[in-house]
Amino acid sequence: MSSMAVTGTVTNESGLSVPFTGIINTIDAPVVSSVSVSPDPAVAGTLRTITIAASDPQGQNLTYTCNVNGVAATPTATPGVFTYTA
Amino acid sequence: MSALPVSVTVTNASGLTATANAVANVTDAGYDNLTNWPSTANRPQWSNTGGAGTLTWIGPVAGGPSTGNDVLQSLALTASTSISSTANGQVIEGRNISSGASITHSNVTLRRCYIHVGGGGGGFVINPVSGSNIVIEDCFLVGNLNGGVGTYYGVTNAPNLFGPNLTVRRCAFKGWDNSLGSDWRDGLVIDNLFYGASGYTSSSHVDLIEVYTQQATLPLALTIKHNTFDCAGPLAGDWASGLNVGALGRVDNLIIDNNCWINTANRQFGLTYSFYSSAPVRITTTNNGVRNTSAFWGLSGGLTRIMVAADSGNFNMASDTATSGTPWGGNGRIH
Repeated sequence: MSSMAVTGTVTNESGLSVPFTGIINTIDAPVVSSVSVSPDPAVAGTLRTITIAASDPQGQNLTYTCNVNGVAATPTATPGVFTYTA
Repeated sequence: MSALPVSVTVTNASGLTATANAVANVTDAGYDNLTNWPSTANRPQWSNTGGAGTLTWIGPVAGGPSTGNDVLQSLALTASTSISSTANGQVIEGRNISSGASITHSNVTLRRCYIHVGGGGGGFVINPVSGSNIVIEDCFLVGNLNGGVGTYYGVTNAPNLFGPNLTVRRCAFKGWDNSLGSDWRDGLVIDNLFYGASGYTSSSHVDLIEVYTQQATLPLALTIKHNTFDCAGPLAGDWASGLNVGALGRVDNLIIDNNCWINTANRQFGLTYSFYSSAPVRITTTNNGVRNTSAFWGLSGGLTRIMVAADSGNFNMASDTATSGTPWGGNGRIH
């Protein structure tokens, strides 16, 4: 999550003013740091494991999808880890 | 080689996404199962992919004898407590078996299965009770699922039954007191890996294979070819041999060809014979590779026979994967 500082001044008709400050918080998108395929290369028919390393700046839970050649890979019990036979 | 595109999308709880791409490279060449020694990298393995898991193995797509162009394959398994054959010619495959298998018919094939028990048992897991021409192929058999003491026998034959012509091909055996045994008479053991031996008690006697026919009248005729005997360990028990073959009666033809023995240093023996009658024993021991041993083979127990042994081409291995080397004993003869 990134933040932006907000500053300003409120002034009345008599010219008296008071400053104020605030923060605008922005929720950022997750970051994918790597996608690995193992074993690679491999002969046709090999069961592969695809591992996605990703993080979220806010620490939110992440959901993952993975496609190989347009076909959905099979998720495992470990988030971000899929198997695929190719 | 071709490259398959891999695309991933990651979404956080706020609905924001990130995407990334990779490739999965596919080679067209197959795997040479005829030349490479069986190892944990090329024999059947099980992975926990949910449900009953997935078995991977390298073999011909249709099964049967290995080739120089085999294919790595996988199969999602179905859970089974135990299995019993129900008909001649049956093919049993794709099972995750947590107890055992009993085969009582002829021409039965048990293949592409993960068979596992916890260890500490004095019994056996696969029992070809009767019938003939039974094949066990591309299976992963674990006798000590929890990593401790093993189980007495992986594949055995009920005592006093005669040879069912059993073929055991391209399997991996881990954590057994005896991976194969005991009262066998004939068959073929080919392209298997035997490793991680463990006695079924902390003091039991361990052989990776213990074939010991108790029949005094029918001959032993067994071929043991292109297997790896990894003699590391054992995890429990007392090490005896990688391969221990014995007989009360005739030994018409015992063929030990093109096998690999590794991690034999400080083991009692890599190869042991125990013969107990005066009938001739015919043994052919050829083209085997042996690494790190000072006492590879031995005799035990009442050897009174005349041994007719044909030896040639056996060699010392410079590494665990070497498929050739300097001749054993200077001339390639073991006996």
